[in-house]
Amino acid sequence: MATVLLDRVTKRFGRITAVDGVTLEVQDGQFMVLLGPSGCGKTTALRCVAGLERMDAGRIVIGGEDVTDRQPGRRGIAMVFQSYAVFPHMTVRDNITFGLRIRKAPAVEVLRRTQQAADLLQISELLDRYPAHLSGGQRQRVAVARAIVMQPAVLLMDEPLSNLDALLRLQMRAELKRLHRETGATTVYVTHDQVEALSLGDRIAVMRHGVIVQCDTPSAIYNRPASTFVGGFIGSPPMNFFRGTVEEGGRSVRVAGTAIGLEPRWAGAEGMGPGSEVVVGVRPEAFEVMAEARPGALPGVVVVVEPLGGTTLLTVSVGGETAKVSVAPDTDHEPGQRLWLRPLPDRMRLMEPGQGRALIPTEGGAHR
Amino acid sequence: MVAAGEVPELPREGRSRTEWLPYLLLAPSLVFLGVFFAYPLVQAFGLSFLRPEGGLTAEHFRRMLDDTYFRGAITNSLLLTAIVVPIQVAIGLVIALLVNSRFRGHLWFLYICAIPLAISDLAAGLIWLSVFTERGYLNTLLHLVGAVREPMTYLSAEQPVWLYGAIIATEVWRATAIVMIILVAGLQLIPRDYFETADVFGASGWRKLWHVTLPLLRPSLQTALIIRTILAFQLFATVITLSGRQVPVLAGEAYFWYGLYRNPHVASAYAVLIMGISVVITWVYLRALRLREEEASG
Ligand SMILES: Nc1ncnc2c1ncn2[C@@H]1O[C@H](COP(=O)(O)OP(=O)(O)O)[C@@H](O)[C@H]1O
Ligand SMILES: [Mg+2]
Repeated sequence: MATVLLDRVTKRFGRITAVDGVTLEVQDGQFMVLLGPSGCGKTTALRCVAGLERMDAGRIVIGGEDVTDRQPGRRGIAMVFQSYAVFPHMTVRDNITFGLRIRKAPAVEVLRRTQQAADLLQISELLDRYPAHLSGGQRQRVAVARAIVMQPAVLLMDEPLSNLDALLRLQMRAELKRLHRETGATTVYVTHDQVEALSLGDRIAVMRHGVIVQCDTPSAIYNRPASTFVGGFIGSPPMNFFRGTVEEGGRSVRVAGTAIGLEPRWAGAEGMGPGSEVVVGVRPEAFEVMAEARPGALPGVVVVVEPLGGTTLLTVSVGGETAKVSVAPDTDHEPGQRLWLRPLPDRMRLMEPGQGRALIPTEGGAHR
Repeated sequence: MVAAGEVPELPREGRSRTEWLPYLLLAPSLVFLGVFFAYPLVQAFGLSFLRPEGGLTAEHFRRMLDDTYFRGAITNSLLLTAIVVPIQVAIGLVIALLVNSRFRGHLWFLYICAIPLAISDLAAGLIWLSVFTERGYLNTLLHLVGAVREPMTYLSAEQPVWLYGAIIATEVWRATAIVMIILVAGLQLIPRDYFETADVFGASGWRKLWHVTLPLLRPSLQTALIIRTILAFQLFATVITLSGRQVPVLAGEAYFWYGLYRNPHVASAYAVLIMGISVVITWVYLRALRLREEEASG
């Protein structure tokens, strides 16, 4: 019903190109997260969808209709701002009904939908209060209620959780997910928090310098990052990167003096010629940790041990580089200890060292 | 050792320094206000209520009330304030909204509108006198286009509409800028997100003005109203320039009693009356435009 299409959207501010020819398709009912570091153009892209920025090039298509030249109020969208922008001079009820009153909805309808939205966000008791008497979390709920009460085809949210404290953020995150399931509105959600993106998104579009560098499901983004940037930006701690040289016609890669065996699908792939420099990417949990030397295992020395409850995080020095390794909490490790790390062959990513782009294995082996 | 939850005491010096700093910073303003406002205020009260030879008296106020000019002065002051201030606020608001719409060249527009701020009330009176006087610009212009044969006399008691009109025009021209500046500053303080939220909901320009802009601008409107009203009761230089004593006003009478009749007691009685009126009106504004406590912040 309401798909959203950004078609080669470009937006410049003077000499800065905030959004640079972005094309992105959001399916009906999908929860799309725009993720990227601060200043990468996420907010600007979202504001283009809302019609709050005049684009320099490109089109916005919502529900199959080109809305590029339509006012924000005529696009069938609702938006939650980072600052919430809950009107201080109106009660919670008047805030929530603001849009409905503009649309001249019948009084009964207004009442019913307000109650419904308030129930959904558990703010029914706050309806007659003024925003000054609400906590940050409650104001946030009001802002969301004010948006969803419109039953918009498309819901836009700009970092709605970034002003909340950690615990509240966790709670609200789950609520937003539930809300999306219950309302089914196509959602475009902007955040710089990769955990939020992984937990909420059906799809994540990772942005950098005004460009989408990868758009995929959370698990694909996590497991098969399209570049060192994505691998380094997503995951906490981020992916480990080692410099290596291709050997044996692409059947192994030498890292810090150790030859690590590769899956056969890498042999003959582009960028995998003998002697090629590559970057090997390994997630912290994708190592096999061993107490003695084995073929294909990198020797290392434990530098720091950080028990995190559910897992324990090791900082390991491997041939002059440091690696973050996550291990089960019941294992015994201490600083100074020697150990050997064997990257799991099916979880290794190889990238070319220049731009950091991921190399593609042969015969479509990348899709598990 | 410090127990959990207990705040360690700061070193003595550190504490006393942090306690005194705010007062130190306030001191210059306090001295200024004390010397130039509080002291003259006390003095004015003293002069208006005390006999020259000592002892309390209402004599000075009685002389003020019995004076032939008194009724005219208070009527004119109230009337001019009631007409001039709403016009100033309305025009100031319109200009501020225009500037805030950021049309091309809005900054030049702002600067030009702000020029009268730099002109003293006496000079403003003289500028407009040169327009309305018998051999002034207005008559020259009308004569040129052939609308009048003989120069007309505008600034006389026989032409009250012209006389008051000239005073009102001068005051509006002279002092609307301060309202505009206060409101432009106030508008810029309103976060853009509120207007954009209204846009996303499809609010029309009028609805945005009534339901978003004006309510959020209320503190600035209040400030502008109070300042303009208080200053309007102190009005006299422009009035005297344009009308002499044909249109007596309260502050003008204070001036005449002090300068012409050399009676600082009755002059002070006028000053105290002006202050009393100002206090009452400010209080009324504060009550009427009060932010409900609930919306005070946020
Ligand atoms: N109104 C504006 N005027 C000038 N530059 C802007 C404006 N809005 C954003 N930018 C610039 O565009 C870039 C992208 O900004 P933004 O979309 O807000 O990034 P993000 O939301 O990803 O942090 C930044 O370099 C920012 O400085
Ligand atoms: Mg942003």
